[in-house]
Amino acid sequence: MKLRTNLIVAGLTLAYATAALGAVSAEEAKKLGATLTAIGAEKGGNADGSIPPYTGGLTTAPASYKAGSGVRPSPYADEKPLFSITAKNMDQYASKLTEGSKALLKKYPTYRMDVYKTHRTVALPKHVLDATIKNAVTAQTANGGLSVRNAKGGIPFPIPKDGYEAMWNHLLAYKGEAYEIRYKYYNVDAAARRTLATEGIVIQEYPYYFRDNPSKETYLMVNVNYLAPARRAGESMMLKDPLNMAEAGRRAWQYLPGQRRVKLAPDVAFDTPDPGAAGMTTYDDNFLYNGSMERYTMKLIGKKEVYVQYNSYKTNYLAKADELTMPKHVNPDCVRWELHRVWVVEATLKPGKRHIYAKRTFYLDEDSWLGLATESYDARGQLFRTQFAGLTHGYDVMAPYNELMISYDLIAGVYKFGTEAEGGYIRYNKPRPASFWNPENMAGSGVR
Amino acid sequence: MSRTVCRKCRTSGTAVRSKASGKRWIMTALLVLIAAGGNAGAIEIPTGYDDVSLRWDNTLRYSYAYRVAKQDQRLLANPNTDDGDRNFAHGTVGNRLDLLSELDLTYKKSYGIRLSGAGWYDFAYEGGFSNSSTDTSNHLENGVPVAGRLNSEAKRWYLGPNGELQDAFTFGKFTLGEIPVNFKVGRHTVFWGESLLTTTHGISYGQAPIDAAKGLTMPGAEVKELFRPLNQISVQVQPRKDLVVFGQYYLEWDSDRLPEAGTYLGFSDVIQRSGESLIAGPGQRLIRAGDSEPSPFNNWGAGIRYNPDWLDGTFGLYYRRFADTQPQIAVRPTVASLPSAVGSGLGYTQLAAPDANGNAPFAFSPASIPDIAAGRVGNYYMTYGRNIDLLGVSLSKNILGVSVGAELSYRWNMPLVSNPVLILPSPLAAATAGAVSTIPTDGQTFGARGNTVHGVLNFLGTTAKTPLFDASTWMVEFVWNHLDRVTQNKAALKWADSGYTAIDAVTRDFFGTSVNFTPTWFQVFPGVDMTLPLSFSGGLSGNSVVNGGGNRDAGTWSAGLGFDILTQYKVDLKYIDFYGRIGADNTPNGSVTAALRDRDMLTLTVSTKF
Repeated sequence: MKLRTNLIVAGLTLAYATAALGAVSAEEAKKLGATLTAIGAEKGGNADGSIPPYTGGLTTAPASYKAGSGVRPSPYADEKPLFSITAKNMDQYASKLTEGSKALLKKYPTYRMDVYKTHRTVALPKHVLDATIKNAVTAQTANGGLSVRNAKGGIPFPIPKDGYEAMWNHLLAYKGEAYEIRYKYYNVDAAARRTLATEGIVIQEYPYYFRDNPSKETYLMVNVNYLAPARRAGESMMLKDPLNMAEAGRRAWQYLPGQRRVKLAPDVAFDTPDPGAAGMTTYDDNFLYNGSMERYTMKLIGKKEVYVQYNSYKTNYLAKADELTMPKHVNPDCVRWELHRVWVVEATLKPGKRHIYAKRTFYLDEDSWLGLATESYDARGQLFRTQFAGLTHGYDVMAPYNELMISYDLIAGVYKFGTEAEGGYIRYNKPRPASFWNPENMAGSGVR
Repeated sequence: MSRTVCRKCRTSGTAVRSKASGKRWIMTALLVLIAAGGNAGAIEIPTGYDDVSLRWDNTLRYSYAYRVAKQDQRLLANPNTDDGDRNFAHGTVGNRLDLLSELDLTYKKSYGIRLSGAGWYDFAYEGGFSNSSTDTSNHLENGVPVAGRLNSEAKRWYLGPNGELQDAFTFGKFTLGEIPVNFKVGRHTVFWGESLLTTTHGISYGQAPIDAAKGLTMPGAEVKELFRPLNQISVQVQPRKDLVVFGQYYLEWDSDRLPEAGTYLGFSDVIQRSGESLIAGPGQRLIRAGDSEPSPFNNWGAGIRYNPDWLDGTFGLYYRRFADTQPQIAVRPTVASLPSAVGSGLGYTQLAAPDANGNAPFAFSPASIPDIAAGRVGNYYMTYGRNIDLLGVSLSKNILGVSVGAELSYRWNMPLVSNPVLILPSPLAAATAGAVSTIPTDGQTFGARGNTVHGVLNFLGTTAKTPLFDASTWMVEFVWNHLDRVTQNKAALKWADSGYTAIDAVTRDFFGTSVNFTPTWFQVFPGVDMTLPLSFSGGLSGNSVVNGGGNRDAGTWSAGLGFDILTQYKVDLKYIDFYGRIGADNTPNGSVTAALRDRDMLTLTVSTKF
């Protein structure tokens, strides 16, 4: 009898695993563009007006922006904080703080959050919005949420019904077709010593969003070239993520300097320590989450108003490492917090799966679907790491950006931050030819 | 094309410093090293032009080595392998400073120049070597053996201060219509196939000379760290998005770099650049003569790598024509013991009265009586075989998160493990199995050659955090070598079919393996990551038919402790053990590691890049 039940359960799981889920009714989809924005955010402001209505985002660059520089000055440089949250007054704001923020406020007396006026700056190109509205009634997840189907050129699930759909919105969020980033990641140890983890150039493309020949298979392609520390100079890697993640899976390659050849890289995913962060974070911590969701059950908790790093032009582009560095945490003077609505998704490790994070919480921006904050808990349920991605909108290209993170390891007392100041940039460009994305190309063009 | 073989060895020139001054040098060097690390970051030099980028990186490394194992009397008993063992009887065997400098100049990310070079000095080679065994010293000064001193080549590569240019090439990329083309011209390395750790069984064998001197001090080093650049032209073209076609044509040839004679890991006193004489018997030596080096212009290769979506991996096909980078040996004695009637009949000079069997020692051309009286009884030659053909296929695929690589290749005309071939006057050569009567030149080699099969299978993986460590990387490689057939001088081949039965006799098949495992702990102290690199490499069965191919019960292992401090300094402490069997007549089992089985050592390395 027991066996029989098990078989039935297995049968059900199997049915669930193969059934395609998703797609809202045409009726429900009508909300998009009416009470909701095209990508599913609430158009209206909140009750006390601290979140304003959405008015189409920021579509003009400030006068100080130099086209082509890849460095975006803040349109709100003159604004002063409305108030500050510290350990002393945090209870007053507790309902609007992430667990990570609370932990940092409690742990470090010098930690502070300066809250500024909320600006809903994200604006996406019309073709992305149009495609998103179409996706609402067609897109589906498959393989137990791990793959996505029938979605094209837009956010797949503007009205998400479960955690996987919400996370697919994050994975497929529009950040532009193609861009090149030059970044630096610094680790600051418990003794407040700062070391350069890596400096590199990242070339990133989203074939899912290509205007010419959009891909039905691959949604993300990344090529990283390390420039520093000197001993890493010349190393590079490439990866490709498919829409059908459950069946096709991630592919990654590394270029071996000295040999001038390319090897398939093992395990550039999940909780493998990210060499780009000198082990301070995992591969799947990048972008707050990336890659396959196969190890987690994703649960959509709902929407919430929280203080997040938003319009972080100063931390992303402008502040020098010296200015950002403080013992224990990033200098609060440099960090801009705003109140925004976020989708909250909770990830719980599936039975039998292994990951150093047993539970994670993701906070996804309602206006862009980009992850803005996350908390990761270890197997004992202890808050292990919390990370914040400061959103900056590329007002010149209609593309938001969230890839520079501030990561705190609350157990080790160390932190990491990324910056595009000091020679860095984010430059948007046309997709490169397909030949560039043949991993073997790394061997031909590698100099070291 | 022959390299001049030693060799007037300078008895003066390099000033030998006192020990006290040596210590001051080390202190100064360490201070420079620390200061240099502290000022790190200035690696990219502003040029003032957006299109031109210039990088200059320097690595400063200090390494110290201490001999742990006692001298093995069976190894000392062989006069042609004992000099290094005797020179460094105990204690400090390396005390060295290295500087590696790399400069990249790039225009519009498409064209550029790369230069790299190294410089070194080793205080452990300043003098005071403990070898006092003149009779077994292969080092000659004014034609006379001298113990406890080094040949000038050994001094150049070990003592210093000296340096060498490594990479020196221009590179570029452009598109031909829609087709991307990359090229490199000048001194550089190119490496094909999927092998990771083997230096002898990969498709890449002989694609660049190997720095075995370095490899022996760094067990588990990947082959890439040991490749030495050669002048060549290499091109890569990508006619389709899933296909690359590539080729290389050499303008230079060089042999592998082995630990020089008389140095701590000098496992032979005979065959390196610094080999000067081969002791043939008590008081009798063969003198090094010019090497038989292959033409540099006859070596080239071409291949394709194809990675279509349906394969979800990369398939490679390669053809190479190349010359060996490891030598065979030919000896040309000028004396032989012959039946006195035969010797006299051929008109040779009889040197002594016949023994009880009627045999007497005879001298023949080009012998000179003063040479023979001084014990110089002929010459020996290093011969590097030319015209080896290789056809290989490779496949790489990701299986369950592990990167799997495989290679299968066939070599024609491959030089095989051989006894030294005798060069004799033609009447004698005709009567002696395997002997020849001409001097080898231009990559002629007289030892056994044949067709061989080589297989490589490797696995490369990483693990995330476990209760024991935060992360780890591991690689496992298996190699297989098979002798298909012998095509030249089977009599010289060291194997049972040719009547050779010593411990180092080759077998038709050989299997070997290498394993590297490096667990890592992040932030063991603030700003300090720790690793525990473990490596093993050894033969599993058989004795490989190619030189350096591996032998059963021989290999090396090492265990170390590494610290990465503020991503700026690296400190590595390592124990290195060599093992192998010694057979009858004190013959090692064919492996270098058997000849080094008493050279176990502890090493400390401190390095920084800036």
